[in-house]
Amino acid sequence: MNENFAIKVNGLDHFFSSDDSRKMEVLRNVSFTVKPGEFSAILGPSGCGKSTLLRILAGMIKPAGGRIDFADNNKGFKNNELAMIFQSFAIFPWLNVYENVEFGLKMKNTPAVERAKKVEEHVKEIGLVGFEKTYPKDLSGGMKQRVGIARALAVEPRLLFMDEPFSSLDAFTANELRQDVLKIWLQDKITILMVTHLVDEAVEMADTVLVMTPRPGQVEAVVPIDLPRPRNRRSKEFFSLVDKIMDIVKI
Amino acid sequence: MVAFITVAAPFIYIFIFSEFTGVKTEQVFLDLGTSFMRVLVAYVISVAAAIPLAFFLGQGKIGDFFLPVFDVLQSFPSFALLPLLVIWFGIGNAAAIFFLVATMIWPVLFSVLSSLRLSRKDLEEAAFIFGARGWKKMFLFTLPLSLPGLITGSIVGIGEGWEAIVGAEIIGITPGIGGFLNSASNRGDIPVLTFGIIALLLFLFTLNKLIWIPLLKRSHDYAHE
Repeated sequence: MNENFAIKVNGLDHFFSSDDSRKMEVLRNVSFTVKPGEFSAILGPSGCGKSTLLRILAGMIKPAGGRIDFADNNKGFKNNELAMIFQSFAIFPWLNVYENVEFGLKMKNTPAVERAKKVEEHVKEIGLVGFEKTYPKDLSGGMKQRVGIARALAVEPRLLFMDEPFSSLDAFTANELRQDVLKIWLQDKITILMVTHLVDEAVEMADTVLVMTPRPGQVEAVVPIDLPRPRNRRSKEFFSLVDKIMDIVKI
Repeated sequence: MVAFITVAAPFIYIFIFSEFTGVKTEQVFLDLGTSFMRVLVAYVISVAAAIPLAFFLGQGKIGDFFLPVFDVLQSFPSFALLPLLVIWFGIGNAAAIFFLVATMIWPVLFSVLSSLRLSRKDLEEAAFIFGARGWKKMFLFTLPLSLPGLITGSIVGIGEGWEAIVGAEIIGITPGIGGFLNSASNRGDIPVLTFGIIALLLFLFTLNKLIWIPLLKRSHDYAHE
């Protein structure tokens, strides 16, 4: 009975209706399983519906068809179990760093004392100490995404969605944040689902890469990445996996 | 110190010039105060009505429909309502305030609503993901999101409100600063007229300098990442 999965997606279909009421097929028969504690990457070209897929799983969009099951909770992951990190950071400009990190906890009605403890813990963990009173307009892109990450981790989610989390950052900052996220994932065992269009990023971070086709998005292949961690981006094995995935994407 | 001078300027001016022009100082304060109270009360009513209405209409398709409607109502000449309001309420504060609400509510409503409609989709998604629902969402997300719109709408609304109240008072919804100017005009008293206009100007300058300009500046900081 107790199958070992965190999310199970079965035959998901979705359409966008454009202004002239023509239906555009976005996702076709998408099926996959994410195991608990696993780091999965959804990899695909722009417009393949991968962000839409993430939003469907997050409950923001109702899919046209198909079935989504979440472990132990068929109603889906609600506010106390799911968190998300956004490409555009999506941190609230009217709140300072501390208040941004606190946002999810406030919504969960976490008692004030516990809230303060958790905010401090995650502010420290992600390297934002000294910036608690700073407003987003005075932060660099990398620091903004740190706030986005701390806000997500503060609610102690069982499931973490990341929508191209490092795509708006310069290469140096992106790499730094990737290592931070990997470190936290290894120690906290959160189930992570990351959407990305970068093959190296997927191979470096994920246990499993779901390769998607261009529109309508379908799962083309599921590639397990069994390289030992920490992964060496310059090793022969790394390059051969990147090549293997590149070949699938080209089809 | 600068703030103190700004606040004191209109008062000092009125004291000095009422001496020279022979107008009773209390009269100027009373008339200016009457107009100010009318604008203030009408503003509070407008905001209290506009915010919940904008929040209600801010969601989904109804908002798409009402946004252009409010844009039109914003430019409707509310003086057209004045004769009717005088029949209903008589000449006095009730007619003046009702008339002012009809003038001031539209820019506030339009502005708050458009700040909600044009808000960033990713912020809305983040609020959803982190569990913002119901009253908590309203106070901790929607309200701060709409504040920049409320401030711009308030500046436009109050500006139109002063325009309207002075006009209405000159036409005959006395007392008030408009009435003060009108009676000076009827007597052909140019020094008192000039004195009254400058007093009003200083008063409005002080309000802007102390309240609206700092709020506007804050709201810019606040709306942009």
